[in-house]
Amino acid sequence: MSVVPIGSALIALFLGAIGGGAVLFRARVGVSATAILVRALLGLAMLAALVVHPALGVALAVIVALVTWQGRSVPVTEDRAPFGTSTGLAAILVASVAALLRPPAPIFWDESVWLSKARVACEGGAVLMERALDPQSELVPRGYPVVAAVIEACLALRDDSLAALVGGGTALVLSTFALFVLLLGREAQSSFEERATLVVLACTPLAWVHLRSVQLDLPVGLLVAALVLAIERADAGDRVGLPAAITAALLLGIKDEGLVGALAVALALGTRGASSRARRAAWISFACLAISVFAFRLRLSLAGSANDDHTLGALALGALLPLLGDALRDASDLQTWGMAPAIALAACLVVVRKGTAGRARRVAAVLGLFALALLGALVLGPPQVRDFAFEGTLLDRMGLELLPTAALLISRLVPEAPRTESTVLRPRPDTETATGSDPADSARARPCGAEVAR
Amino acid sequence: MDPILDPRCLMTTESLVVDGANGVCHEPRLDARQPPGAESLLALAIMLGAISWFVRVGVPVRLRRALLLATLALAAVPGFCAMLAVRADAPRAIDRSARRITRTHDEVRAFAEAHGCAWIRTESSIAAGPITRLALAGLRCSNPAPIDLFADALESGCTETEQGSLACGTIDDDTRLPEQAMPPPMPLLPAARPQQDDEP
Repeated sequence: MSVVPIGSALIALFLGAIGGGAVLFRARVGVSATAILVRALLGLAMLAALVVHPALGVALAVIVALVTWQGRSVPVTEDRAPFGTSTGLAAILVASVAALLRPPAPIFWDESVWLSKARVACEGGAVLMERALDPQSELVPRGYPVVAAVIEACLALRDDSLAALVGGGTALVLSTFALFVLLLGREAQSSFEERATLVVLACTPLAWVHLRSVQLDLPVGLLVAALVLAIERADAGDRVGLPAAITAALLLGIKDEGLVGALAVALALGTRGASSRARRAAWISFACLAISVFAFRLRLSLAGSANDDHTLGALALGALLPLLGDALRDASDLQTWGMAPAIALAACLVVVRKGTAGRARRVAAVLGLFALALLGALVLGPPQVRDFAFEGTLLDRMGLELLPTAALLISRLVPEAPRTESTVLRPRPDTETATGSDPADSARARPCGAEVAR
Repeated sequence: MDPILDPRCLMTTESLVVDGANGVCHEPRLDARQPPGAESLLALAIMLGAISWFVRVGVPVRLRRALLLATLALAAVPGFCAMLAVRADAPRAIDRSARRITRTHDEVRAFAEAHGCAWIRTESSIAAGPITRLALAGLRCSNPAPIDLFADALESGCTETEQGSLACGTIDDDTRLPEQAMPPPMPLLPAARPQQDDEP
């Protein structure tokens, strides 16, 4: 039986944790599984920023260190959150087994496309950027982000053999899944909510196909949902929240859709009705990503190597209805999607009624804005993008980018359980401030209590 | 219809490479621009049922939760069956598919490294294109050697010809190799990809 080699990825994650730990030196995020993974992924994301431009990497490191700095006057409280929930750890284990038990070869078209860049990145960051900026270079497709290529090359420890590259790509997919699951374990208000979210994902066959690949569509979806969860943790006073939000946002730079996903999250969670902590986390994380993306795009434009697929074209309103029709038909493909899209659509319709929980409404807003942004990119983009969509190769993958957030929404609309169950509600931040208690304590009380009950 | 498309369920390596990540069993392009069918009506019915499930009061919570999870699980069964038993990346078939892809990669990579670098002169095989480009990634030289990808490139493997090119697959009577000996200015940019490209 063939197995994807992932040993070097563990070493790279360890080294990344040292780098991320240095940036988060005074963030006091603790030693939970979430905190360790956030350090590791932040370190790798910072390395990718350094590759785009050394000044960008240094600037982002300084910004992250400053915004997560906890002064000496802030009391150090014990992190009572569990290392990880049993459900979450089981989900990560199952996903890892499913993703690793396969031959170390790229099967699908785009796997080869992404790994081509990673192979060039194995020669060094400077070589990668030189070729990314060279309009005559063989990088395929040119003008696309290099963040994933850098991280995959790091996770492969710059070994450019096919097996090592697939191992690096698989490690990236699994890392984003782990980040999502661990944040879900901290934020879910009941064990059922956590499990229901994972069940929705698990009952979507296409999600398994992408989990067993190095495609980046599922990671983008997982990172958007992780960003939502991280901002909510920051809102609750959890010190892992803001660093996790920044990490998820920076990782969203792996694909261009990531920027609009982060903007959708910032608009839904960082505007009207949001607490100051949520606004801060939402817009700081979005700003970090925006700085990173625009620095890269600026370098591309100056070098004349920008990609025409990502420019705005004429508004093609006539394509809107056919696109919607195709999207609905694709979403109702039982073998690909199961019934997750139908139930998610129902949840989006139900969420507008009175009495719906605010946290469900916020997730629905993220989902709606992200979906609109993706649709807008098709309608406003150049004609070739619509051609891809009509040929049937884009809409399903865009759906996968929406799926994890849709799973969050569905689980949050599940009716409240009787009080005998292990549901320990998290106090609102306003209440915490009013009572003068340490918000971090009250936020951590939930997962700890819930974990004991599980 | 494109000859590499497999209307049954991605049972060939070629169809898997081109469309395997765009759907579990059907290739969306086959029915692109067609009106929704019976499955869409089923999805609509489930959606209406889910709406009533969400707003319904008076039904025991545990029953409603069980109904939700059972619906999700049952609806996923056809997809899992295809993934586990039908597709060319099902557990019993994935090794064969991966072997063909890996062999093409290794042969192209070895040829390109031996000649400094290489370029794709003929691309009659859509499915062999991406793995060939991956094999060529990172290699640069002033005099790239030509590679010809014929329709059965993944299946038949590659052999070096006496003219110093690499022929992947078997040449047919209709295929005429270009006389051009040197690559165009941008030899390894994505060639004509009639069906699929990367992200938007």
